[in-house]
Amino acid sequence: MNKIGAEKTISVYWFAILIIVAGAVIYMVVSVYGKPYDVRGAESEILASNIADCISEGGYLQEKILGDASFRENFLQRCSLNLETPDFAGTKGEYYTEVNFYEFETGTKLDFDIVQGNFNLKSSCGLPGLTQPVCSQKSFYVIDKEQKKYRVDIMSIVNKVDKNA
Amino acid sequence: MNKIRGKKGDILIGDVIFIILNLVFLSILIIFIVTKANDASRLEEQYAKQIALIIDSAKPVMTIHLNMEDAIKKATGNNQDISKIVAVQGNVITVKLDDKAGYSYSFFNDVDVNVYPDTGANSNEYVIIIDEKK
Repeated sequence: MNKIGAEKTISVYWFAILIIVAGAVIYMVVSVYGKPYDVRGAESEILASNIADCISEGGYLQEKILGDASFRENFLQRCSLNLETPDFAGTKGEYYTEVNFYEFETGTKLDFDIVQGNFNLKSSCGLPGLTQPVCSQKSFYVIDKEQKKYRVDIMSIVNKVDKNA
Repeated sequence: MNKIRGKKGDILIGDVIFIILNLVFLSILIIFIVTKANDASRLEEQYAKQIALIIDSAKPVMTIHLNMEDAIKKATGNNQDISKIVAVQGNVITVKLDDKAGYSYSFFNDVDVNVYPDTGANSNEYVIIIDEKK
């Protein structure tokens, strides 16, 4: 192979390397900047915390909660929550929350729970993959004014897959 | 002139073209990365979600100052009204930095939210006031 032929061959290889490098850079940039920020983990944690703050204060159960049908019916209003999502057209609900109460000593579940939001999201909780709803669970102990101890379990689920995954 | 058109001259022109093509290629690559990194829609999404999370975790009555220097610069560059970068409608935050629709994200904290740019010394900041629902 003469000198000019060898240089042309090197140029072809060089441009092949450049194309590979460009492809790799474009792939990396698109994979980093093409995906939306996933804030559902933080969102579900904040939702669970807000509910916990609504139910208890300083380790004490708020009055007129346990067994109060009015609190259950007006849960969203009493806890200053709005689970509507106008930015997700045609959705059946992008949030789900569930609060369960247990007797601390025996672990017996009380016949009083609070459920709000899209119940269908619960079945997807814990499934792997970014296109699944994100779940947070919070468990804490409270005492009422009669010094009776309870365990409160809060589950909060945020779907919002279209804007986070 | 005859010397440049000789054998040595041909090799030199080839090398120059090769280097120029490489530079053009690298420049296109860098422009692509910078354009993607400074995309207005990226900033809109970032701030809409950040403000939504701030509102979710806030309690009445709170005043929050958020530094939005890069967003304000971007909006100014796109001839947008700085006072209309962030808008709240119901429980949806919308951040708009160009002529397009902007980016919207909902928050679940049922509070009254008032958002406006700081007109004082901190002109790169936005003020978010959280109040009880009336």
